[in-house]
Amino acid sequence: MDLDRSVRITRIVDWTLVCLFVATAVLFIVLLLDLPPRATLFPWFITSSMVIVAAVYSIGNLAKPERWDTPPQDINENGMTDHEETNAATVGASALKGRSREIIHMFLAIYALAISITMLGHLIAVPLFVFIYILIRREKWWFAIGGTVLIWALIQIVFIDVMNIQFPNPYLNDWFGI
Amino acid sequence: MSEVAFIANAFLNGFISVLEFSVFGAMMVGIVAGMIVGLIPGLGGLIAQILLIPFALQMEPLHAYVMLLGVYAVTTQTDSIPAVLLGVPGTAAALATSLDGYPMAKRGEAGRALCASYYASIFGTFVAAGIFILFLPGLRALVLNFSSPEFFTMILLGLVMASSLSGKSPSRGLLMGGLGLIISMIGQAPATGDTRFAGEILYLWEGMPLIPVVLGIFAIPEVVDLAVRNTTIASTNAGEKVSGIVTGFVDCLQNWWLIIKCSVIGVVTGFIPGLGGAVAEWMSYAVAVTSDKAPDSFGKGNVRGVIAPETGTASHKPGAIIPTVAFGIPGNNAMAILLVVFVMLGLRPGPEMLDQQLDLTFTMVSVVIIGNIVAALLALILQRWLVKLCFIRANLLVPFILAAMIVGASFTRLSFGDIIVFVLAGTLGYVFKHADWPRVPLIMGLIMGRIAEPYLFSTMDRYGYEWLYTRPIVAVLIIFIFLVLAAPYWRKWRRQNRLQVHGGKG
Repeated sequence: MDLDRSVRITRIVDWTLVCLFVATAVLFIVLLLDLPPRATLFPWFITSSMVIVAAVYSIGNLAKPERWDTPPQDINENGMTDHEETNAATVGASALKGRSREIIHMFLAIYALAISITMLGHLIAVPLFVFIYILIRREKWWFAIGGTVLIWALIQIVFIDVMNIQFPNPYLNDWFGI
Repeated sequence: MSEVAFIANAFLNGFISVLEFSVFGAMMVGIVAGMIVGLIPGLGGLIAQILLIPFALQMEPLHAYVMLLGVYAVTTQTDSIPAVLLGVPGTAAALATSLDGYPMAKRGEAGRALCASYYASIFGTFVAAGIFILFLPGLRALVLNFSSPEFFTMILLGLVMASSLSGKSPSRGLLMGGLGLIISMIGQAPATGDTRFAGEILYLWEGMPLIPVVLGIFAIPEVVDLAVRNTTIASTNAGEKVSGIVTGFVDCLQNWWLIIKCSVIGVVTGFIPGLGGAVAEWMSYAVAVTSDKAPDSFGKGNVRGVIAPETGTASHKPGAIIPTVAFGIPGNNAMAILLVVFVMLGLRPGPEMLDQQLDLTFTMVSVVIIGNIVAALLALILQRWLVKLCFIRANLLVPFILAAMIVGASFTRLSFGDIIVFVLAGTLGYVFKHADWPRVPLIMGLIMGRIAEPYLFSTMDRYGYEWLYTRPIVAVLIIFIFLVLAAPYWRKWRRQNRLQVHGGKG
């Protein structure tokens, strides 16, 4: 069967998600066995229903896989689609095709930001991220500096000084006893 | 008579409380933030709401509700600006507006289209509020007769409806709703205090935090897509002269019956969980087309094609408040997000919201009404400048949005666990979005699981299994659940039958 690559990928993702859901439900069922019955009534009801729905979905999927494929989206003159539930979000989804490398880079940037926050703390990591991101994207250096100062001021003045928010102590501070 | 007096008194109290300086100020913050973020390409009002949650959690509950409802009220106005001027609907709910609004703009009637859309949304909100008040006595009587079995079944019905209606495949919606419910069970069991599914991870003993999950699931996919696309959605010239305040008003007055019909559609679709503003808009648009003497003129710049969808989406908003506060079942995506904040700030949806706390419910409705009017006035005055926001490059926005989101996600428990949850939820959210698995049922499951479990527990404690067959309302609700589950298959069977009949004839 000569399937379009994107359809194949969608189906693989689909199956992976169903398997993930079933595995989660089964794992939770196993974990329920150690608990007293009064704590397990609702979880039993939900997890078993989920396994049944997953079974129905899988049988339907096996019987007629094309039924579950995402249909091609209508694209208007501005390259937009009208699909999905969070609307604004979906604007220009078609423009993302064939840009998996950029998507991965973006996620790596998010993971790097998360890790650097745990290591350096919000006050350093977040402004640093803003500065590096703007420079990497080849925007003007003065905008990068301005944005960095703005974000730093927001965290320091608004969140820490005014709102008294105690952000967690970064690990590097712990390790060096700062 | 005392019932009417009670409702009228609550309405007055609610309305007056919005006009208090601090409350009105909080609403204005929400409106301005909603206008700015809502117009930025690829974001929209829902993301504006999500971004404000961390700030809302630090505020007085009333101010927080009002600020977020201010954002909620303003999205109708911000949606229609790029939809009409640029032919680029900021959200799916504004797509129908752009069908006739953009052709009107192209022939130099942008101002008329925009003003008609603002007035339509104002009138729609008024009619919806009227319907809300009209049906409130009946709704109160119904809700006050509810006990824990009815509430539990009602929550199940809401979740099943949202799961079945919010995506293409009901099974996917149900699975996502189930996943949300499973995640909601992590932490201490309400009945016994036993720790479930958290293992040795102390962070999870308090349960899965809502805000990092909501932020991650909804906002990260949008920001990643925005960054990867790296362009503005708007590529046309925004230098459109905008006028037509009087013409737009006259258009709305001339189409008063259409406004009433579309308002009723909006309220009803708002009441049904999972339908969303887009359904209200398209149903209203369909009503406008089918009831017009010249249906061919739609899509070519018929002002009724702007009035109908805008009325539908605007009236959908007060309608969606009803199930959210009365049953804890959000009527749409934005209400699902709001419910997260309501619950975190201590508001408990249920009969109290239509009884002891009716003032607060009316405050919410009043915010939507007043917010809509204020937003329409602001949009009328500022639209020439607001539309420039559509042209901001993604490169300049993404780092700030991401920074705001990750800092906001850390507010929940002030632990690095918040950031880990946020990033993991974001990764999953991206997969869900692009694999076309609806995300709303997951969030609804996560919220409603926490409300439903105590109801089930007290139901079983008080009635055993008898409640399943001795309570008429429960029986009706269970029948509804099965009908909702069966509806997609029945529709499909009918469609196939019709095709076969036509095929046979052909």
